[in-house]
Amino acid sequence: MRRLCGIAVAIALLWHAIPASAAPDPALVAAAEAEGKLVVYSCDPSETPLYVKAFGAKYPKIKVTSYLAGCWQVYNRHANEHGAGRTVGSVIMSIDDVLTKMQADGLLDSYVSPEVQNFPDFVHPPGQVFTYLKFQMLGLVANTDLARGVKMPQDWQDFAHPLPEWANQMTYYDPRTSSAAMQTLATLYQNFGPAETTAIYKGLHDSGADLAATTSAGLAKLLTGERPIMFYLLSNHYTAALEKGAPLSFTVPTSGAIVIKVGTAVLKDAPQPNAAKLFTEFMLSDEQSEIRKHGEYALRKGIAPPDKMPPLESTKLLPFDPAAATAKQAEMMALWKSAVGVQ
Amino acid sequence: MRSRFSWRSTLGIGGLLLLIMPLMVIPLGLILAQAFLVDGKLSFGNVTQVMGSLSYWGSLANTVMISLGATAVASVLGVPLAWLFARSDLAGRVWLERLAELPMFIPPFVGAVAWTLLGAPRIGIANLILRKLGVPEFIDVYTMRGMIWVMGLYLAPYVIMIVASALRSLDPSLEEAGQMSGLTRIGTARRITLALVRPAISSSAVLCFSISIGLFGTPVVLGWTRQILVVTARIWMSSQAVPPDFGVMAVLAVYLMTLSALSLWLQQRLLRGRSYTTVTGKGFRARRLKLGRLGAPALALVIVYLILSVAAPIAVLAAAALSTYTWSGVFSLKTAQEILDSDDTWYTLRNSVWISVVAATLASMLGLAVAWLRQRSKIRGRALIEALVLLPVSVPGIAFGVGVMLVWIKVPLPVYGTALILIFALAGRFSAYSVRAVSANLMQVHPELEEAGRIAGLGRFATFRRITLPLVMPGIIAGWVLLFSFFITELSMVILLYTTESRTFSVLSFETWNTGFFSELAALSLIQLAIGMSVALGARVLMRSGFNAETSST
Repeated sequence: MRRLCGIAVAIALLWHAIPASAAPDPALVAAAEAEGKLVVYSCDPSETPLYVKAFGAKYPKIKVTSYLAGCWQVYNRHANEHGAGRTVGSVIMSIDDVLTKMQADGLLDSYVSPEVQNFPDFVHPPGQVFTYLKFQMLGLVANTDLARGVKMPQDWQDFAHPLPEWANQMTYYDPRTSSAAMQTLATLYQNFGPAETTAIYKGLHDSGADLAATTSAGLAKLLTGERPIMFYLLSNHYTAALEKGAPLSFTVPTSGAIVIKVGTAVLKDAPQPNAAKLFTEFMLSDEQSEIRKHGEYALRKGIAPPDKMPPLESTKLLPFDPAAATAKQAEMMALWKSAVGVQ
Repeated sequence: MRSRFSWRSTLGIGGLLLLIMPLMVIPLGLILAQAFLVDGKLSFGNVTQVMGSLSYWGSLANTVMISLGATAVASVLGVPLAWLFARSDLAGRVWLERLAELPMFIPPFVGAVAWTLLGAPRIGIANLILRKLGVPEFIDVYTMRGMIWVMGLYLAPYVIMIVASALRSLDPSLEEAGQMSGLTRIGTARRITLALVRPAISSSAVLCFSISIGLFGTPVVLGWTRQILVVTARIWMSSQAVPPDFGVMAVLAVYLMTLSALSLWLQQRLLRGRSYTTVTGKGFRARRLKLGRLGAPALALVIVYLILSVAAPIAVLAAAALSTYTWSGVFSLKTAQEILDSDDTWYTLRNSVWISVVAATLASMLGLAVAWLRQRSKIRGRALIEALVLLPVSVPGIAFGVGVMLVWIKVPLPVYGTALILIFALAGRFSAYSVRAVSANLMQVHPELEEAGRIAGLGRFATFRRITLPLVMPGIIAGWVLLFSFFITELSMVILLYTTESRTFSVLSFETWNTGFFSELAALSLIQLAIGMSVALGARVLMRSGFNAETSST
């Protein structure tokens, strides 16, 4: 908890002066252009195509393409390719626990961008080979038109004792198929312990909440009104829906919101190592102001929080330990299955 | 006419095997080997894990029930429609038949999402209409019945296509003889027509069953909510484990292969000992049966079917594509315009079309060769070759995709990481459909026609080109269109193997779905539908005109 509060304070202190990004090293640009192409592996399907397009426009001599899938699927694909000596991807964008495991498995190359000086220290601490790019916040979301007059959940623990009017109105997510759902389960487990976490999921299940395979499947149910209360939604999905005129409310849980940390790294034995480094530079400079426009928290000093979202420095965040989450994954999954009665 | 083989034929068989091995046998072998390996050592651990788990047995039971139900729905709808389109004078039958094929060009998972908007409790449009009418809302697509209905509607066009193709090859004098013997029109259709196209009906039922057990998107979209999980959903979950649980995936794949083999065995047993030859040296002129007073109700029946299977889902897609979000009630062209202006849309569409055309052509050639070998040669091992080609189709796409990846990732040829791997995977898994479509036609063609050609001095190849090929062309075309429809919408295998430069339209649709906004997905699906249908129509016209020219010149 202290760690994330520290992060929030650090962001707040460094908020005001936006350091200009330096032009990338011409030698790096020349080397990347000589490679001529770049393959990006990512599990961020809504945003990566925008980054790829912008990078391609800035460096037209580099043909940039992407492979997008679930976070652990991307991990599996790279692990297989690397194991067979046929690495295809050069740079990866993924979430905290996946990158932590990749580093532990020796699947990432160390690269410290000169741009990290414009970021808080937690973005690339010593010993970590990947760099955080952005945060996505998870909060409780409701369709206000369709759940009008109903008292909404205010905290994660409210789901342990659901109100009768929430019956058959909610959606929650399957950690067997969604990496965000897995991280949510792990964060709740680490912060509230096994008994309370079990009670939260059991409460959801017992009140007839729909189980969705992915967050996007749940978002569709929220927008159509099939299930107007969501266990959580990612901030970028929330702001995108708002932009389309959807009547949604976003509540930061009183005990703390969950943040998904998205980072980037150069892949081990990358076929285009220089283009991968240049892409990292690009993501840490030019694209940071674009990130906030899409409902995500850019981490570069001086960049404001996304519109319609609370600032990180004044938001209570639940801490998350990715290494511990990976180590206890089987135990947490068994707990979840038992709570919701699936096999 | 059964050919005895020379060294040249043996060489041809060798070439065929050289193609079949890397495309089908080795990927299948590699994935099946995983069933008996734990940490690289021989073990029955995976088998006992799967066989000892009630959840896997439950998924198998769900798979069997849903697939049998969907096959029954597709057959009950598809066979009468095929007869109406191919053998009756139903008004507007040509266009009605083309319309009935439309669902094949919508990715199954998109069709399932469209059906949730139609038949979900509370917000499904069908339920909203019922509510307005004061009727209790009884439609729920998240039940097993709902899944069977949606999958059955998706599969019905395949039955129509295969059965209609066989019905068109039927000599009407057989039906006329029936009528002269006192049978009514319905009695003739039931006792003569249907009996003669029994191979096609059973073939299409086996096809539907095989497609059903391997379907992934539809049962996941509809079944996840109430945890009605099928075997493919379990395979998907195993593929997401870290590292992927290849052992469990392989054992589950064996379950599905066994189911598919059982259905094939049952079909062959039902047809054993009977002759279904209807195309002989005697010429015939196709004549349609007059429906008379039954014409209007038959047309009404077809229109109701088309509303349910085509118009309603497509209308939902169109409404969603024009909505700012689903269901905002605010309509705009913005989403559609953005999709049309996107480079991604056209780039992935180009990839999908050319990859599907090349893969469908390769699979059709392979299917023709294997079907001919099986039906017209006496070479030893022909049944084995056919079995090898038929096997992969019963392996779910995710599992077969893993096998293909394991093969080519280690081969130092420029296949892995290129579009070639997709073409090989698609042709490898789906050539069976071409074999079945061509075989059904070959079974109807009496060998006396080819014998006549040989007596007239034609060589084996010339006989094949000038006699056999034109006669089985309807089957080849039907098979090609069938394969193209699969390939243009294929996702579960492509998502594992696609490379950044061979990203397909289905992958783009799936990525769009992952953003959670159905409007964009709906717009993409309508484009895919339009392009898929146009290419299929164009192919039909090209192939038919090519063959008419060929046959008229000979």
